[in-house]
Amino acid sequence: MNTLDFDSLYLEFGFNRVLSSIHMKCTTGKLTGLLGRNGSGKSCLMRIVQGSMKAESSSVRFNGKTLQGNYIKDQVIGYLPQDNLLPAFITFSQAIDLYDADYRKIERQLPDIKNFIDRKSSEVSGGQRRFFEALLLVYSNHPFCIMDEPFSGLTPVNVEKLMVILQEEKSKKGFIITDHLHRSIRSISDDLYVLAHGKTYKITDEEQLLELGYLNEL
Amino acid sequence: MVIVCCRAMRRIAIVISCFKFIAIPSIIITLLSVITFLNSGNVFSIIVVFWAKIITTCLLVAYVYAFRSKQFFFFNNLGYSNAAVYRNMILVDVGLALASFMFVLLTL
Repeated sequence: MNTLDFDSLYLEFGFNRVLSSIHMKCTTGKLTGLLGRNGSGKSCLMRIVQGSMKAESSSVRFNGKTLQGNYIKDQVIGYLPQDNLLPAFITFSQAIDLYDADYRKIERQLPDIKNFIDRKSSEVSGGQRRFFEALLLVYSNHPFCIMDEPFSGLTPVNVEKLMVILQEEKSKKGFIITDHLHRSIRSISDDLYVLAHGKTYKITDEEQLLELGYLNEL
Repeated sequence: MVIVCCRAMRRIAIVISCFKFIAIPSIIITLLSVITFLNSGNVFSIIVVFWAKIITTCLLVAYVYAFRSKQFFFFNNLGYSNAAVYRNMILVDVGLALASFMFVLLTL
């Protein structure tokens, strides 16, 4: 079982303190949800943890060992950004080869892939591409996956499908997921956090979502 | 041996993919540089043309930094930092330009 935990994250833009008191822990077998209002710093937090964004201070640990320097090269964390993951010039087959992802599993979940496997990502609809990108990360070899709004642009059928896939695959890797479809996130998360006022709050009671101003009503 | 070859092939594929961010304008500029050099007929003009090529490469990299760097996450997941993506991009671009100039110099 692998563990990813991070704390002591501090980020500010000018005089605006975005992240100040962060502590989150994710383990294999658990799906960790992160909710937060627009502009609360969720994407920044995820990018800092992934290693592509620098913060004033941060401490990210994998199995208790601090990840230092350019730890992107260790390929511990796969990251699905809010925007497109695939560059426009990459074909779907190239992406599968480079990520060493399991094509059969992807094909089982996305049977249409046969029709566009050799096309460039820019030539396929946004919804299909988004679903493929999520599957690509789920079926790649990273021990942890951070997914920023994986459900955006997906049809309700594919949202449900992806939720089932994540539940199935969490026994093999850890997931940290954020999305504005809070009901979906709440229903699949084993641990739920809210990012508010630059701090993470572990949710043990849904009433906290109201207290933190994330929801107006349950 | 097979594993080493596969890793090397994968690495080459990633390096080429990094270059694709600037491939079309870069190749056009390299061709224009070579044609300009050939038309000038002066061996010393290669210095001017080569520096022009370097400056345009810098401009292309600046364009990628400003407008395309969000697509680097694809390479980050493969273990390549943003700096490594830029390095690969420049490496292939300058390598192609050098090879073109060497070829022209040797055939003149």
